[in-house]
Amino acid sequence: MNHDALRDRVRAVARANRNCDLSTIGESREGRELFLLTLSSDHASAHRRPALLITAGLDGRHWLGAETAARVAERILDEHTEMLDELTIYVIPRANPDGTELNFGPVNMGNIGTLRPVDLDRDGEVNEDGPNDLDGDGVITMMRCANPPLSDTPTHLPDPHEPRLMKTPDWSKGERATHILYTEGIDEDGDGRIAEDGPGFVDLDRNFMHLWPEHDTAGGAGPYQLSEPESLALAKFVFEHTNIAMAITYGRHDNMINVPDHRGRDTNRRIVTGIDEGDKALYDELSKLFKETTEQKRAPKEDIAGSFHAWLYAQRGVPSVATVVWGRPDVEKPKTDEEADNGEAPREEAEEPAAPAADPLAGSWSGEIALPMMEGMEDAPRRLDVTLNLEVTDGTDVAGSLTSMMGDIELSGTKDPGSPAVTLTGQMGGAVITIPATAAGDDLRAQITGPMPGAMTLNAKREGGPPDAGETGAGTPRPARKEGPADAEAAAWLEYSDSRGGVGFVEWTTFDHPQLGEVEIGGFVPGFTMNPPADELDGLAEKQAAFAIALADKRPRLSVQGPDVKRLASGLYDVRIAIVNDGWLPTRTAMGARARAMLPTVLRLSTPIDNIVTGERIDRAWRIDGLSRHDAHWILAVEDGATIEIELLDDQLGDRLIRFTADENTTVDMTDLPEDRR
Amino acid sequence: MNTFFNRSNLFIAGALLLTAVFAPRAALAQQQIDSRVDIAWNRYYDFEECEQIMRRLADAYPELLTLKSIGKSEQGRDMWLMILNNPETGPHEDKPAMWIDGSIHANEIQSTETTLYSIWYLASAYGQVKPLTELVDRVAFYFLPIVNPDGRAAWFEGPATPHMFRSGLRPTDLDFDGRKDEDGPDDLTETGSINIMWRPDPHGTHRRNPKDPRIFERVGPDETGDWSFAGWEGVDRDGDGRRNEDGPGGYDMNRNWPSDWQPNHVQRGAGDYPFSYPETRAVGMFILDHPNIAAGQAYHNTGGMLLRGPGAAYNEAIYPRSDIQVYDKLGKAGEEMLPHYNYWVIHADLYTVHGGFVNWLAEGLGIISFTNELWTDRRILQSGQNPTAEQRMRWQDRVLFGQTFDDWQEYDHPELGPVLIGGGTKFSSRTPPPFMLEEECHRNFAFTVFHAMNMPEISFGWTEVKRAGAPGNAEGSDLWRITLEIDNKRIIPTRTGIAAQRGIGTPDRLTLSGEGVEVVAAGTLGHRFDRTMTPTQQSPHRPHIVLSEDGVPGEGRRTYRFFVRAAEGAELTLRYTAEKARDIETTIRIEEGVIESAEF
Repeated sequence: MNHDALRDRVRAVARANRNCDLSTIGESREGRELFLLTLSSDHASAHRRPALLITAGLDGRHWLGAETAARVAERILDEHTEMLDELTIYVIPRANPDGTELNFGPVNMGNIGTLRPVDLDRDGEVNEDGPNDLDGDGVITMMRCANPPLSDTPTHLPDPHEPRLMKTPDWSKGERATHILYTEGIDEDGDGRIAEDGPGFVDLDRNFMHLWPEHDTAGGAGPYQLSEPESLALAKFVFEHTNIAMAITYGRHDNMINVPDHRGRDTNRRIVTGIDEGDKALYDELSKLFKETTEQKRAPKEDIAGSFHAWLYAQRGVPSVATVVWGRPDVEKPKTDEEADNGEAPREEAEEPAAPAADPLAGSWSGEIALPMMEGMEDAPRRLDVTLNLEVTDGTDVAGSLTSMMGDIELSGTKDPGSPAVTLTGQMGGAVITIPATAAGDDLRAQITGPMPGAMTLNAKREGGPPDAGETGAGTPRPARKEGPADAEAAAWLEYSDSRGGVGFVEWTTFDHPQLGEVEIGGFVPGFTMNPPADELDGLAEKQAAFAIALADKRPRLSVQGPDVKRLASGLYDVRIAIVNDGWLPTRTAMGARARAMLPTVLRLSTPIDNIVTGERIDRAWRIDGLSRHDAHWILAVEDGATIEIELLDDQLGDRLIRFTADENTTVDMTDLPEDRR
Repeated sequence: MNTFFNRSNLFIAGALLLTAVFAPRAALAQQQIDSRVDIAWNRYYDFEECEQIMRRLADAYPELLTLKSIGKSEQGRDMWLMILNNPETGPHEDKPAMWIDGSIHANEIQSTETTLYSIWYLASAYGQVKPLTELVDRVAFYFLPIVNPDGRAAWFEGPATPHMFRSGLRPTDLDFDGRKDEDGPDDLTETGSINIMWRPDPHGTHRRNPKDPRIFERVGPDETGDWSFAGWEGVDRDGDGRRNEDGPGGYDMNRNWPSDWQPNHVQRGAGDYPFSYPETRAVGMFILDHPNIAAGQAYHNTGGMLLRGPGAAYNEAIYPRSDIQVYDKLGKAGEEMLPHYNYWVIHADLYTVHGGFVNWLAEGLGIISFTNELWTDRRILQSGQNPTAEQRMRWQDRVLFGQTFDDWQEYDHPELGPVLIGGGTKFSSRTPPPFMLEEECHRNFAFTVFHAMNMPEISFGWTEVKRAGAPGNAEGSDLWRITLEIDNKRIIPTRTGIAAQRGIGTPDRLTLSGEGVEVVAAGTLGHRFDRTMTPTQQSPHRPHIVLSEDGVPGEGRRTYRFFVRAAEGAELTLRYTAEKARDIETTIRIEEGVIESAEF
């Protein structure tokens, strides 16, 4: 769906549905509309109802996003209109129309970002050496050059297990590099590099404020945060629509199949790199709901620095879901006779390994230690690569070693059988160090404390897959690791491409390159791993619609309970009111309550402060948990029968005026808050 | 010597000519220089008066000064930028330029007068004072005297403390009650300043000084006072039980810049995103459009500090030693020029700042930059010591004749009952008294000039042309070896260490071209006596272009070598371009020989 087709489609949707309003949030750099569909039964009050924001198409290669967003909007409009009486759904189907359009041109460039001219090779000229479709197949792939002349250094070799894939050599396996890999193209600016300064770009999903990767020009960070008209328009839309209570982003990121870590901190210790600890349960449950609804099994792990969805979470406090929509499919392979005979298990799923019977801590872990900055050692490395080998005997005795460039440290400790946690101790330079370590699946985290100031954090991953089943780690010879291609994920995609007649991979073909001589051109088709075959679009969108509806159904549902008025004495009244959340989602994430980026739920009492015996005249609720409530309580010294007003401000509930009297049998009158009293 | 060197830098020739014409005027040493615009530098100016000063300067010195508005403030005031440049020596975009601004924190008022003084002095001195004439011919200046026009207008127009309108004036809901700017301080006693309030308190923390009851002093740990501090002058306008908790604006535009920007819960006042205010956006876009900016100073008050980054401890590692040496040379010179000032590091000596302006200049754009905190109370006694409360009161009485002190008045406060309101006026601290303002302006200006003079200035230095090739074939061969040095006589390198390490901007570029000249190889030498060269990365493909990430170091040089095929007598052109230095070009003839220096 190119931009014209998208325009036709959203116009048709808006024409056909009274509940759908089509507008734009701005224009792209090249002047294309940034479409917004507002789904609501009442467009006048749409912005005063809780809202779900669906955003897609930030990455120019993920054209699945707009396809899905448009279909989800259509399905909700066709079949779930009743939702739109209480809830607004904003759909921004394609945030990066320029970058996407480039991939729909004569050549699929695999373009990611916007078209801001960027001097990617920093030679003073802009966009002067982009890729070229040398073999004329309409896609930009790769070139590999075998046995290059001595002036160029080989870096790769064909993977012995799948020679169509290239890998870097593993010296320990006796491999040596034989090839150089290039992007398909020629050296147009004569600097000896090929296709190093193509069109654009700024990656919209690296241009937002959360963990913005400053100076990563080649990675598309942009010259400053929100440097693009597209990202600025998106951000402004969010700032102006504080009724957004939930968000789903279709793109290259995922936080549902793999829930972000709740322990990571940035260099600035007050910034979370994943999610706040207080939001772990929320995200775990959302993940469960997502997996049940969509039956998606796999998703890649992409860097979230500067991404839109992570900013919505970390700085706006919105429960923010990111999904790739389509994970790598299974390839159905008929079993060969041989496999059937020896009963070999089918290919292991990397994401959901069979639960190992072995101890959760046993095995080899590799990772890094973040080192604190020490005075006088500012230039020292801040990360230390380490390997932790642990053996567990009888499920309780742990022995192992911590290996790094600093040498080996022997460690030991004891724990409960089956427990993933142990406190290890060892000796370093004559001093005792203590390492409480906890494993969670294939992740291990430990705090290292010792003679140095402060604690150091070790984050490690299990090496070589899950440990073997067995009573002890020690003494049991392990079967050799299953040999396979170095990049198992790429190999699986290749296998999937093969099962579809090779549509996703251009087979390596010899080409006489004007500058390099004989090369081969081939490799994955850009966007192949992000976009399913067209006949799957409807089915995928149906599942995403089901999830969007399920999520919307769990929205915070606020109502006012009370006020209850009790007469304590003549002229003295006890007043209680509660803001009840009957929905499952909290009004804000824990992160949002901490960031205080949005107005809390506010109760403003009309009674002058001198007549308030207890309680705050302005009562604020930074977060109301799901299936919970916020209580406000006052004792007021007011005349019997006096009128009391509460102005309730809440961007999801809408602003209300609650009027009652100092009387145990008061009637309560609740209306919309007049504009001039906001 | 038969080598022919044609140094074709017309601009420098023009500059020298101009200097010669005006040289006699420089004989007026020690007198105040003649100026076409009379401006009193012993007083402060409100926003409109500053606008007028800029217009008068632009009208009086049209050959040097250009006034333009780079945007509008939140309330629609113009953001007046003054470009100081001598177009006779080239357009400003081609010269290294210095950015100077004031009043991003509008209460820090003398920062604007200091900026205006700098414009006035430079424009007036041109043609009269030799070093400044040479400076103006070589570099350009971008002056923005008022980054926060609304705040300055408000500070002069209405009552204020010495500490408020730090913010711009976009209405902001600081107390999260749904209302914006609804409970600021009030000038209850109508003195024109927001003063402070003391309430009588039998269990008070303070008592009045028996010798001078105007002074409230804290009692000792085992004593009880009879007065307690009751905050800034004001009432609880919104009736929420708190006073002055949601005044005008309430954010900090000096935390609204891209480098190490952090959200409000980490860095209070940061705004929603970098450049989220019209004022910071206008400045940011101008600076991004002018990569020739090679130096920056942002004027603030107070405390007598010349501050450099980083703003946060975790960014120490990104300042290479070479940059710190540059800062040290400049900063220590500044300490000498500004008595009782300290050259300090923001996070280590002051406090942590995320998203600060000079941090963006230094860490984001690779510009050597300072924040100057103008004025220090150590200048009151001229002793380097801060005055005691009694000494300060005597200074106010005897030197300032009480003009900065509002006597305590009894006031019947609606919430607190009887209180005393008074104390310092909005002029009472953070700013020099008028009679000291001119000196403050001049000394800071002089430090700025020292910084500006040390923006990179490059030239072709020692150059050698030799026959190359195998010894037996040398005679009559068409292969030549050209070795040349690019000199930088100033402290600041053409590319800061941060710029080189983080890949900021475009690297310097040296190109060699000429008709019938084919460049075979190019490389760098550690120094001219190196016997072999390190080929440049692109040498095999594009040897006539050399990109230099590190540029030319301050007070140093870089040595390059080319091998070219050319007929004897052929001419070739060498061109060195750098974002933060003036480009240079020279033509040399292919003949064996050496030239020792760039002078001609």
